[in-house]
Amino acid sequence: MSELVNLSLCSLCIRQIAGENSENVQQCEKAYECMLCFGILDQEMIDEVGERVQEAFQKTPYDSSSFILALNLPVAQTLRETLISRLRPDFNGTICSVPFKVRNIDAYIKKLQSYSGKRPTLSSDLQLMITFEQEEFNLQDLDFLKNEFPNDFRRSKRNRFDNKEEPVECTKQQLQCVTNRINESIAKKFKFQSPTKKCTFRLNFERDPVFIAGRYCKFSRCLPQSPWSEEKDGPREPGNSVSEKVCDVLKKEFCASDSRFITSGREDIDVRMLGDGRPFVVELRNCRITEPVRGKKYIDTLSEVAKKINANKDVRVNFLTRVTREAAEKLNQDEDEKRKQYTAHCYSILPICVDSFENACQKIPLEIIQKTPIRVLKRRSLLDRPRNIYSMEFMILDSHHFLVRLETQAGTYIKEFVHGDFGRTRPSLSELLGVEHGEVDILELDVEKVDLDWPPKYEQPVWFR
Amino acid sequence: MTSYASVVDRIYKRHASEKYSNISYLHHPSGVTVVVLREIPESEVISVEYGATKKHGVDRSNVAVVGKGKKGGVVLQTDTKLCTIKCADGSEITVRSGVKGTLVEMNDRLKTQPDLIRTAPENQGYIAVVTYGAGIRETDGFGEVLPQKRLKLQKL
Repeated sequence: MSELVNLSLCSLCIRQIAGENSENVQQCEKAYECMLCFGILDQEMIDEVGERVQEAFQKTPYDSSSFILALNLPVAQTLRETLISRLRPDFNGTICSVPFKVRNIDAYIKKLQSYSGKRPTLSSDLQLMITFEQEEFNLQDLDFLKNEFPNDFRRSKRNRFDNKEEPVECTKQQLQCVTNRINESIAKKFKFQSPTKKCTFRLNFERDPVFIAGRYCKFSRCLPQSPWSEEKDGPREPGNSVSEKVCDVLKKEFCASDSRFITSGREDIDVRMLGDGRPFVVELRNCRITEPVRGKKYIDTLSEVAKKINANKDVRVNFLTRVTREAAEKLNQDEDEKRKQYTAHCYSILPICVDSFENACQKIPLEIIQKTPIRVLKRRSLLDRPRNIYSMEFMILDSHHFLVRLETQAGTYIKEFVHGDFGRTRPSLSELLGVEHGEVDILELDVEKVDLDWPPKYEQPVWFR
Repeated sequence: MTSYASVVDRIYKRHASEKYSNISYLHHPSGVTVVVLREIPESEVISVEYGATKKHGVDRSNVAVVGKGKKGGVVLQTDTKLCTIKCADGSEITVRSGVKGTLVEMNDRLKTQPDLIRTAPENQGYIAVVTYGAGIRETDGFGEVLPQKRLKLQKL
C-alpha cells in the first residue's frame, strides 16, 4: 500500500469528511488554512456573510419574501475536493459522501434565513449569489492541470493571435471537462498547501426580469427612438428619446437597475409613428419592487403608469400590459412577413398629370430591389434587398405635391423608394410616375400602422407570481 | 415659385476635390462618399470603362464587397483610376479617386446608359461609392465646400 498524502484540515472537515481517526491528517490552527474547505464552512465566516447579506437587504430592499441561494465556490476548492476524494478512499467522516456544495448550502441556508428575514426556497424570482474567492493557488493549479491535460488547456488560435493576455486561472468549465479523468496517479502528483489568507466573498442579487409590453406612438419629428447624437462621440441629450421616455418611468416605478427597449422595427428621427403605435417590450432587470405587478394587479398599476408616461406630449403608450418572457420573445419573430403602412408627403420638380398616378397604381403590387441605401451603408452590408410594395394610393394636392399611402413589407426603406437613392432603388417612385429625369423627394413621412397583433390577447388575463 | 433644396443637399455635403477638378464628392456624415462628375462634357458620353483598359487592370465594376466591413473592396489611393469616360466627339476623361478609401460600388448602370453621367450627374449618373475604415467619418482630399443647389418647381 502506498503512502497516504498528508492533509491539514479544519475540525469540521475532519469530523464530517475525514473521520476522527484518519491517518496522516492534522487539524489546522486557523479554519481558513483547511486544505479542503478554505474555511468557508467556519462559523465566523458564515456569520460574516450573514451580516453582509442583512446589510445589503437593508440598503437595497427587495419586496420579495423568498430567495434562491446560489453559491459560487472557488475553482481551486472544487479541484481539491476531487483530488482528495481520489487520494483518500479511506475517509469515513459522518457525511463524507455528501458533495461539498450540498454541505455548504446546508451550512449557509439556515443562517441566511435568520439574517435576511426571507425564506430560502428552490423557486423564487430573486436569486442571491455568493461568490467566494481564493486566488492564491490559481496559477499553480492551472500549471498542474496544463501539465496533466495539455490538450484541454491549449489556447485557441484566435486567442493566440488576438494578443490577449495568457489566462491566469482555470475556469469552471475547463475543470469540469477533466474532472472525470483525474485518477489517483495524477492526483498523487499534486502538492497540497494550506491557504495563508481568508477567502473573500461578493454578494450579487438578481431578480427575474419583468416584461412590460405595449405600443408606442411618436408625435415629434426631432425625437430619436434610442439615445442618439449627430456628432460621432457627441454628448447625448439625456431623456431625449422614445426609449428613455418610456423606460425611465418604468424603471423608476419598479426600482429596476437596468432596462432594455425592444421594438418591432424602428422609425427615423424625423418620422412620426401614428395609429395604434409600434409594438414594443421593455425588459426591466433586477426590479426591487414587483408587488404592484403581481397577480392581476398589473392591469390597474400599468394603466396608471401609462398615464405618467403619457404626461409628456411627444410619446404616447397604448395597451400597456405585463407579459411572460415567452410572449416577449415572440415580438421579433417572422420579421419579414410583417406589413407596415406609411403616408409620405412628396413633391416632384416636374408637374405630374392624373394619368401618371393611375399608371403607377396599376403596377402595384410590385417587387422592388433596393441596394443598401448610402445613408446606412456604413453600418450594413451592401446587398440587393428585394421588398414588396403591396398597395399604393395617391392623394393629389397640386400639380407638384401629393400624399402617397403605401403598404409595404417590413424593412422597406421608404425615403429611398421615393427619391430613388441615386437610382439604387429600382423602380423608384419617380420611375413609376414617369418623371425620372426630374426629381421626386419626400418632405414628411408618417408610419400609420405596424401590422402585428400586439400585445398578445388572452381570454383570461394572465396571472403573474 | 416654390423651391426646395435638392435631395443631395438635404442629406449630403458637396465638396470639391483637392487634387482633381473634374470630380466632386457628395459626403454623407456617416462616412460614405459618392463620387460624381463635376465638369460635365458637352458631347454625349458613349462609354464608361472601369479600369480594364490596362493590361492587368481590375474591372472595378465586378468587384463585390462582402459584409459590414466591405471586405474585398479595391483599396483606393488618391491617384487610383476609377474609370475612363469616352465621349462622342472622341475626347476622353480619366476619373481618379482623389481620396484614400475602399471602393464599395461602381455605378454599373453606366455600362448600359453611359450618358446618365452627363444628364443626371448627381443622381442616377453617379460614378462610385467610397467608404473608409470602421468609425472613420472624414477623410483628407476634400477641397472647398461647394454651394448648395435649389430646385424650382417647373411649369409644363
